[in-house]
Amino acid sequence: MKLITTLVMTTALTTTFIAAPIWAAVDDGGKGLKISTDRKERDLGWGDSQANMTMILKNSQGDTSERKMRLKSFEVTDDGDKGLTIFDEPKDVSGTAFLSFSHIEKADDQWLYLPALKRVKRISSRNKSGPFMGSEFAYEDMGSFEPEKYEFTFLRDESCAETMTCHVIESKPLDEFSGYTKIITWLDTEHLRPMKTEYYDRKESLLKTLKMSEWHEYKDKYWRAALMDMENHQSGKSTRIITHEIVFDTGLTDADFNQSSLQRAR
Amino acid sequence: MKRLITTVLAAGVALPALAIDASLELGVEGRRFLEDAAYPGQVDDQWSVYVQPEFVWDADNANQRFTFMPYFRKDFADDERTHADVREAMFMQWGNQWELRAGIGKVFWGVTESVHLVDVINQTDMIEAIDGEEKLGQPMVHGIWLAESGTYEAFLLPGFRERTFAGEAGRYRIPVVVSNDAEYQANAEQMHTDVAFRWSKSTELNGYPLDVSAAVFRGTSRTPEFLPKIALVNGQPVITEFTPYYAMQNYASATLLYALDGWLLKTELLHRNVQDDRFEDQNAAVTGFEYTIVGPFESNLDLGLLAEYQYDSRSNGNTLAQNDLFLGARFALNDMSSSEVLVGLTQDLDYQGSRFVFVEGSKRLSANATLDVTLLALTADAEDVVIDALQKDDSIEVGLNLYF
Repeated sequence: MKLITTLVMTTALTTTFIAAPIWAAVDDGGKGLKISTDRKERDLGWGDSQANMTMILKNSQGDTSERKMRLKSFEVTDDGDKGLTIFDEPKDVSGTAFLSFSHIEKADDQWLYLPALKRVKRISSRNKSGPFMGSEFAYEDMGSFEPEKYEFTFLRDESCAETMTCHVIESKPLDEFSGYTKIITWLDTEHLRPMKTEYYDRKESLLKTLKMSEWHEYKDKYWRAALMDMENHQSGKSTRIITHEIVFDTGLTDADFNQSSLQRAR
Repeated sequence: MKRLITTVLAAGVALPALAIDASLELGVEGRRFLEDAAYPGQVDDQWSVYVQPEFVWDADNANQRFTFMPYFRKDFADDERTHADVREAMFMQWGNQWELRAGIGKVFWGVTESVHLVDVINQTDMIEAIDGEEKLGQPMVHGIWLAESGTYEAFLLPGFRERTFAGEAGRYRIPVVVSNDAEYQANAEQMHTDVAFRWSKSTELNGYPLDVSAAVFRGTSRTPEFLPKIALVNGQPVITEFTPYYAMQNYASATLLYALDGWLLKTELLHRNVQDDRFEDQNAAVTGFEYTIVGPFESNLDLGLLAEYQYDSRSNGNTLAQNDLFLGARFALNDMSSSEVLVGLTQDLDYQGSRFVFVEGSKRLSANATLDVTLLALTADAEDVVIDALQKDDSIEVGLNLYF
């Protein structure tokens, strides 16, 4: 028994040691974390929303393909948010729905509903780095922003999006199953909105750039971008997500996000 | 999927506004069998077409819905495969913690991929596809209650659907044709009302998701026994036909799914107590995993590796999955046309020569069309009677599906 305790203790110590590496990036005095926490706090209290979206996939030859979907989102206090995505087009996947519970301290829950089989299938949360519906967005790019999942470093302030000034922050995902080694985000200093995001792959080379534009303010407080353009620098492919409409306070409750409601989502 | 908003007014009484969704799926399917037929009368090529419209009426501002989905397939080779079904004609109403469905519909139970052992509510539309994935619509009243302790479901199932089988011209059949005049143990025959209950819960174990379920069912077995009809031909007793016999059963099942990082560990357990002593009870299990590798070989694809072990207590002749190992690989290419390929092998561990191999590929051709291709190859030991009967039925199947 004592031996086991010793072993556990040793393992715990080793883990702590590895988690705080001595080669950590330049000490920014906690500025990166402070800005990122501030970003999250400014977006708290949005409640619930429903959005209509079109996703346009473009390959390196310039061929395009469209997906239409609706997204229902529900804010969860003290944990990650809940989301339900319903696909309308292409028509062969119409009625397919994706339910996700993001979590801060444990693996996310994800289920896919396949209407032809009436089957609810759990998806391994390890798939987070995989492409979302064949697009250049990964599942992990679609989830809610949770500062607890990253280690932040403030890099610099610089001009961005033509007329603005941005904080440039580096975030390192703590989740070993993330597809990224680092993410660099340009947050406008006024509202802390992510204007531009660069994703670096496991070999630390630049993989993708996300540009968000056509920002609109909802409930006098919450900013959402109507255009999201993700460009993959390695494959030459890109994906645009257009949000046609987003409505807040739609009366969604926790009961709209379970495996039973997933089966009647349309 | 055009959304038409129609306000229904009848005799001065305003009913809730209804949103009607209509969609249509249709397709053509061709099969070519790669070996000469084992039995006289069987075809080498089989063409068919199908149509499946769907209508959904949603009440605005009320949690009510009615869904109607008829189905029809015309097979130009096998008359038995020309068949119509009501896949769904279901009224549903729901609140925050409950849901009530009444009508004809489909329910899926289970977690594994190679066999759907515990899936018992619907009869298999075997003539539609021999992989058992297609089901016939089942009349039911289905109540769902969501509680902290899990999801509780109760089913009343009035009316029974007989399994469909290939006719004389069709492939994928045993040497003797199965009769259309089924026999039942239940006095009410096809009109016996079955009951079922199910509990399921998504929880966690050591911080990883765990899905569990348990179910019981009492009523007519979905799996038929076969009664041989014997006649004297040239003075020799010969089986001329099999009559499907549906015994009563008490059934209990459980499923477990544990999502450990990239692993999905899956188990289905089944016990079936057949009420007619002439036939064997069934204890069966299938257990295995699915492991997903994201972006292997520096590619954009998801590679899912599957392995499942199948056990069934019943003797040879009653099951294919008595002691078998299934291995599979699913390639999702994550391209614009959502291309996918699933390769699978089921190896019998008792009869080393019995195995079947399949390759299923699918891709989207346009916003309204998909194409799927299936290759199936079977080999069998002569003592392995069920699969031996099918061993000349290696085939390639191509399907074109259109969506409006």
